[in-house]
Amino acid sequence: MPVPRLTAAFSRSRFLAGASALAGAAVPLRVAAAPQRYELRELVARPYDLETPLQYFRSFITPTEAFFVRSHFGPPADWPPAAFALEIKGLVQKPVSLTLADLRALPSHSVTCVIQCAGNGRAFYRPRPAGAQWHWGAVGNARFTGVKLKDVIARAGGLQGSPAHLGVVPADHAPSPQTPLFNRSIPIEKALDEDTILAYDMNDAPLNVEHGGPLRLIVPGWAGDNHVKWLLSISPQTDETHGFYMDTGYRYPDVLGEPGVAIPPEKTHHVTDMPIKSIIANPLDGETVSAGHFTVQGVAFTSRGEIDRVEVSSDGGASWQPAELGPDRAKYAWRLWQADVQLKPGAATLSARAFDTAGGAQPAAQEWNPSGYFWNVYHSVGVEVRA
Amino acid sequence: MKFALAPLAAALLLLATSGNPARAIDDPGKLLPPGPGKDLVLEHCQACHSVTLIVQQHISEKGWTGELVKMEKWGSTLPADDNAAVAAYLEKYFNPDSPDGPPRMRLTPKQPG
Repeated sequence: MPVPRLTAAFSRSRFLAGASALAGAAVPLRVAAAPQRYELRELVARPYDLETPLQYFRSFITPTEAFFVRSHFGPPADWPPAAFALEIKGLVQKPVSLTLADLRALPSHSVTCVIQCAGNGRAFYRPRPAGAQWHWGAVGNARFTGVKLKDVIARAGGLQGSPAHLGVVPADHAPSPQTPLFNRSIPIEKALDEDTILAYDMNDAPLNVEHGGPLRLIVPGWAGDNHVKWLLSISPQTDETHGFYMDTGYRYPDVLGEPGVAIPPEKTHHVTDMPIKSIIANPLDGETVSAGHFTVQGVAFTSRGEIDRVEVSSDGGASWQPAELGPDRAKYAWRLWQADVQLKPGAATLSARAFDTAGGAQPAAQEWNPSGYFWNVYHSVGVEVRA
Repeated sequence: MKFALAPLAAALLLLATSGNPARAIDDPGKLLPPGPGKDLVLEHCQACHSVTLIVQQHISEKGWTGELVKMEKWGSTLPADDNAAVAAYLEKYFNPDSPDGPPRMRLTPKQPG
């Protein structure tokens, strides 16, 4: 099926949406209604870990129902309580509890950003690290709306002293009290960033429980573990939070080593910003396509600088051609891209690699790390081309 | 199995389960192969997570032992005396060379509102 040019597609769909709304015109076939149900790959049934199939990465916004789900312990039963309120405590002038109505009364701020699980691509490392065996789909791009964390702190009278961290406590916990909690902290500078928010909406609808509702921390540009779901309280504090999920989990070696060689925690750091990555969303691996012209589509994102360019290969990486980048629509969002290739009958391997302005480039091979974080080897898909 | 077979597998699952995919997908007894240790896994691991977490792993016996020791600290009810037998069972089927199981697809409901 021919794919319209990226820029044309964006303006055309905006125009059509506006025209339809105004005139009640019949919706043209090309602007088909969004599917009502989405199939996700279920990694863990309880608590939910669900991965997004790559055909859902052909749009700028990942629909909420198609967005990957990662849960450490999952929301408690009967969550959220009817009398939900977020506690703001610790090193603030006036500790306070704020209901959702209180939070919605504060000025709202929207951020469209990529959220990616640090372990996205873990299944491709050898040897395979333990953990959820994500392929490419533990990532999505959505619009989150909520209140700036700095405004919430101000609502509690501002900081008391000079706390260096913001502690975050969620509601989820395992059945056993011996299991560590997913209590976390982020540095206070990142907490007070203009784009760090407590989100109550996702894609312009109330944040649902699977995605952390009623309130989720959004830390644009940083790996998914920082975007804590099911918030109970936040507290400016002097030190980092300690515990398994701060001191052992979600850490990356300062210097990579051979598999099997233990790396002490003090020689590791928190996973925060994400290296350059692109993902092919069309065609899908294993598909049969027609010979001739084909438009390869995908997404690219980085936390380090901006996307500089994306290149596509239709000969397994022997030669590369530039892809057309879609508009840069939001600082922390991904960029759509597409490239026209000519396919001859037989087997073909399509690859895509992205480069950022900070010098990041997707490699052909990647060094191993113990938790299998930040896989960004360039993506290749195999297709059968029929005459 | 190749990821590309996902739609077919999901369709077959749907057919097989006539509108209630969750039940068949989550049947833990069917996800775990027979062997010494299976009953212990079913009895002790599911308090916190479904066995779907287990069957996707590809780790060595040493790795499995490490996981069981971690879970013991985290409150698992599996008696420590059974760790070796369970690690051997898990390694037999979910080791670095074992094949990936078929993808399990889940239909997400339309979000309310």
